[in-house]
Amino acid sequence: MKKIIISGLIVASIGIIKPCSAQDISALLDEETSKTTDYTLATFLGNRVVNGQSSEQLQRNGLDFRIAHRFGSFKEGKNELYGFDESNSYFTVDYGLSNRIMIGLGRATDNKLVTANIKAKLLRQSSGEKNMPVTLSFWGGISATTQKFSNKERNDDFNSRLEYTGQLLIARKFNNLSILVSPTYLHRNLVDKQDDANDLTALGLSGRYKISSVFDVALEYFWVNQPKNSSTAYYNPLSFAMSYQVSHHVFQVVVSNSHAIAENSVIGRTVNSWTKGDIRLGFNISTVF
Amino acid sequence: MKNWILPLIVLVFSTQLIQAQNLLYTKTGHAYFMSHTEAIDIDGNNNQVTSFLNIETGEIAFQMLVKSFKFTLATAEEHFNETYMESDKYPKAQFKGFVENMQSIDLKKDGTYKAQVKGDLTIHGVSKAIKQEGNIVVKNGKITANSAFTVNIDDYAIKVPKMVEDRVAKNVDIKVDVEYVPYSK
Repeated sequence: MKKIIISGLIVASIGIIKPCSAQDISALLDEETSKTTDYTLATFLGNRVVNGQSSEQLQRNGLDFRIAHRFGSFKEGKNELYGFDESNSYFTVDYGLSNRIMIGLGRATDNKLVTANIKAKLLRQSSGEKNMPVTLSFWGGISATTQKFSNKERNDDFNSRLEYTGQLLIARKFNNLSILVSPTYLHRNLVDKQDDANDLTALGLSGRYKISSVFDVALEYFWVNQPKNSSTAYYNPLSFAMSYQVSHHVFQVVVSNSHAIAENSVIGRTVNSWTKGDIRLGFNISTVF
Repeated sequence: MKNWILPLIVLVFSTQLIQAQNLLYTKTGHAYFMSHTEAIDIDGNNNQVTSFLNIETGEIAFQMLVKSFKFTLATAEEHFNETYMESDKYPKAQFKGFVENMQSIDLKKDGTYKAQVKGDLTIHGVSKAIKQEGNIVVKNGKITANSAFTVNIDDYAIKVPKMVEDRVAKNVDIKVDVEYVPYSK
């Protein structure tokens, strides 16, 4: 009986051996290729979605020079040419220290801010040998206002001029659609009014849809946990952008209720409302070297 | 009864051994491309090329993930994958064919052998029949293969936006070199 089983197994094992036919090589190729890791690229078009950070960052030694500009509110009417007479800008320079760490500096008109920031990529979305559903980055920013100190009752400490922003950037690309969720913590050493909060939490939700290889649309929303009893009416910033990419330049046309462009001001100090038509046009130009 | 079982087992295993030895492979092959224009040179390296060579039948195949290319120019990776190669849509580049003169190549003897290769090259989702000459080099038992050829990007429906037309070459030079080892599962 034992012998019959053994010889049966042997016969079966002969049957398993396949000749090395053409089909086998195709299957083997796919099998071996699936063992390499396919990292997701270009989840967003640039380092920022509209005002806020995206999950993208520069490659090592890459340099991104960016000019963002916002006009005044459409509401300002004919005499101000529907906001075109007003100008507000934010210049930033970002540099890739490595493929995973990027640092940057900036200067904003609004509040005369000087900003410094760092972004670190912790996880990369990938499939194949290594499977990772999302890209995860940390972004940290510090900003100092260089505005003349207006509050006469307080000492003009340098510390009072500082604001800190910490953000997790969790992104996933689904073919042409990319989604970004960004839990944010913002600390301000000194706020404008007594009933303003020094610490704010916010949740960013951004999306990007790629229409063609050079054209996309993006949306960015921050739900900000402003104190309910604040005497200033704060609104959640909502921004749209259409982007066009030519070679190493990205042009964006922006519509937003946020007057400011720097992250901490957009999240913590947006006092204009979409529902009241208090929105403005703007553009971003980014050049990567 | 017992006398024939052992020889049969040996036979079965030796058949498997012979089958495996027919097949050479690598998954760390190298591919290089260069797009040369007056305006700018763009080049990339892919060190994760998978290849198989059946030394019995001459069947040869290459496959790689387009996204595994690494570039000298920092901004090239995104444009290459997003704009030109559309690598989310067409993740793989592939060649499948035969070394037509395999019988005249003696892999047991050191030397450089010209290999006449014929087959289908698939890039950007488009397959084209090509005929190309390559080299199979045998040195101290190591078997390597290499080839250099040119690909016209129009043949593979790779579109370049008008504004950057002068920055991407119509004819891209490609080099492939692989070092084979016997394939075993």
